[in-house]
Amino acid sequence: MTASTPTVPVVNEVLGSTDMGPCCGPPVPAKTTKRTRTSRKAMGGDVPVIALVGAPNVGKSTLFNAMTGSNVTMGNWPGSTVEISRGTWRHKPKTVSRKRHINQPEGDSQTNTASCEHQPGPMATGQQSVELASAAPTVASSGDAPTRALARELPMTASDPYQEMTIIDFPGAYSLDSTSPDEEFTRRHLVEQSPAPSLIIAVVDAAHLARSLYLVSEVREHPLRVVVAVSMSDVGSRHGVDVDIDALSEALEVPVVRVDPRRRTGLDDLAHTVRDTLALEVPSPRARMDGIEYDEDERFAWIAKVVGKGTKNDGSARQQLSDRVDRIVLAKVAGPLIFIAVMWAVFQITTTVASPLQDLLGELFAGPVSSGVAWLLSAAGLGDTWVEGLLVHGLIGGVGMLLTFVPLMALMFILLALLEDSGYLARAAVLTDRIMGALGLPGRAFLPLVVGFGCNVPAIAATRVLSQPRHRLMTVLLIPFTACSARLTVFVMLGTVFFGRWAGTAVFVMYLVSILLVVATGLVLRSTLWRAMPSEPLVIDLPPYQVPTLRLTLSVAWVRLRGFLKTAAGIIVATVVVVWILQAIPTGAGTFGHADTDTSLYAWLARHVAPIFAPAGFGAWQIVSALFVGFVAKEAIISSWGQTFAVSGTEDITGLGQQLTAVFNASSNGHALAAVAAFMVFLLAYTPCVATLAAQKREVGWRWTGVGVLIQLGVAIIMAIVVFQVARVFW
Amino acid sequence: MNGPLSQVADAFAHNKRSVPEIVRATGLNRDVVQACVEHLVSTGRLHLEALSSGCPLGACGSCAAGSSCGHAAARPRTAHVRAA
Repeated sequence: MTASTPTVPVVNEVLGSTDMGPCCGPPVPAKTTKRTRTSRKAMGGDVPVIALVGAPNVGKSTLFNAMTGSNVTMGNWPGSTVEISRGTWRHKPKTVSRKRHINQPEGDSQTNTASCEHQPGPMATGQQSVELASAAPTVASSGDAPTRALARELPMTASDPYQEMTIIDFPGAYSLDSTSPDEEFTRRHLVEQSPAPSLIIAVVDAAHLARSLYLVSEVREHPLRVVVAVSMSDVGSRHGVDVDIDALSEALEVPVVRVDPRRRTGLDDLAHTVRDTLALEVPSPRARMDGIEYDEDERFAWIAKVVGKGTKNDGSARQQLSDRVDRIVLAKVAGPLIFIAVMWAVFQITTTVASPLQDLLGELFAGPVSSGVAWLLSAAGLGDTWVEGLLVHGLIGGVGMLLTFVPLMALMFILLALLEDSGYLARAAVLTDRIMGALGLPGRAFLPLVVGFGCNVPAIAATRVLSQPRHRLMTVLLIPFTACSARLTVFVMLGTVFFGRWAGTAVFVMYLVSILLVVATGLVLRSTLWRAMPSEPLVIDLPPYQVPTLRLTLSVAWVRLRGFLKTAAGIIVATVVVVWILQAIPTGAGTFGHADTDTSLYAWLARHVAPIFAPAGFGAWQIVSALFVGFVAKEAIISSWGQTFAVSGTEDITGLGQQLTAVFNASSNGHALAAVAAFMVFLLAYTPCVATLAAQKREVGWRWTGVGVLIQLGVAIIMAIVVFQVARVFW
Repeated sequence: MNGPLSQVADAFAHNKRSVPEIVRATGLNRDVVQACVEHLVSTGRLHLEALSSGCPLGACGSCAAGSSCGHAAARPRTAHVRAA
């Protein structure tokens, strides 16, 4: 096998001249050039100019580099910002019959060639005919079979004028429709200006054949020599797409060569096919009988036919498996039920599997860590001082309590990442969108709402994708009802403490309540501000299901867990310090740092507000104070309870649970579970964290942010009271 | 002529919500449907957006999931299209 030789003498002086022979268009000023002298003759009239075209990302430039080597000239085309590359494709002399190359693969089963015997036809215009004739080779110009056979038999010798060709790498263009400067440039130089290139190599992506063929369909409508190079066959194979080179050539009515520029295979076949095609007359273009230009629909009809003929396996088998699964998981009734079951499983696994680890960490912080720090402080003479109070009861009690949730959150993030990586969460988006559509809400609004289940702050920023100001406003008002991961942390904690083996179910129910709140509030707003707003069509391109990758899953989970830890290390620590100071200030007897929490400023302030929540069953200062802390960050609710009850001498999760149960029991007259359920609903709906409010203010201003807070507080208190009053009947 | 592009556009009009649904409705090759969608996008008749189900970088405030969106590109992508 003879390899193409990528020794490319590219030539400043020639590129700088106007004597380009058959080259199309003006010269290219060199930007990065390896100055290698070559004869002007080498780039003169005898050297064919090959245009390398194709859609973006089909491997065109990789092929260009493989053909020409590293010595190429790059630069903006004069008078434009379009960058092109130019090089010389030099092929070693070859003395073997071309028939062998055409009919036999080069050993690489993925590398083969098919030629098509298309008939020469009349030129589009007289001028074009003259120009192309000058660019075309003088051998085998008749196009009849014996001549073509002769051309194939011709040895490639040093005197062969086509062993060296000028290659121009055109910018990636999806079509000749002039919708971008690159496409405009390609159109102008391929089909509008004279002289046209001697031949066009159209690179198509085997994995996305139909997309690549639109440009080919347009090029085929002009009197141009075309060779199609099929790249990315390996990617296509992975996608289950198998291109039949012979059949594709027959369907396209142009020679087709399989190439793999990264492995440098197929270049020989390409070189010989190009040479053979250059030896033929310019083929007649694909044209309608009535002479009218094809419209885009007709082009796609042709593409559909070509794809049907040219692919042995179109990847539908792999996709069909995904489609079959989708028919079930996206079914109108079964789909939402499956989604509910999946999310329930996520929360149930999270709370049951991680629970022992959480207990272990809780005992660690409450025992050895607290004791160790207290011992160290005593040794340093700081025992029983406010410093010990801040460090042991404040930071370790508060932040430590939050850190016991790390295994739990890690597991939840891993499970969600698995769902995401497998492609299932994308299906969940379809289900959500369907619900939105069914309610007449704008489909696009679900985008930021989905983000809101991760974090409300970026979700509010994401409302900028909505074009209508009223859509943006309404979505901004709905986002705080989505159960962000910070709220989920508190739900998990309360679920673990109060609902035991039903903890996962309890968290899951809150997740559902969150969705229902969004929908219900959306419906109310739709009947007011969203009236007469047209819904927008939405198409979701779902990727096939895939086996989740361990690396990506762990990586995504870690990034989220790191965010959780950063929050714990930043704003939570600051909140803990403020809470500790408030708890350290006595309102009666005692001194700073030695006050009874029950008589501290913290408790005194909370007691003034607590009665408001008595109808909801949680009118105790220990509970209500946490809601204020939760305004800073929802996770801080846990740390504040950790502090409150650590001061009371309870420093692990079990002890905290007992204290909380006692408090909820007392505030609800023995209906602790009903009060907890009401508290969770209130937590879900009430004022979002301060960062979310800041984001809301930025997007919709103080007025609407205030309206939003009032709506949320109103909905939260009403729902909490209803839940408690109903649930106390059963619990 | 009611070619593939018209069929895909009609499917949008009939509220088909995903490429598989359009494939089923039109009987077209999936690759052709995707090419038609991209053509409609490239000619400005549809807008295509990547859907991220996580959080964008750097805007999280107090949220635990704050900086999780750096991996959006590595995740399965959901495309969002609306009529221009």
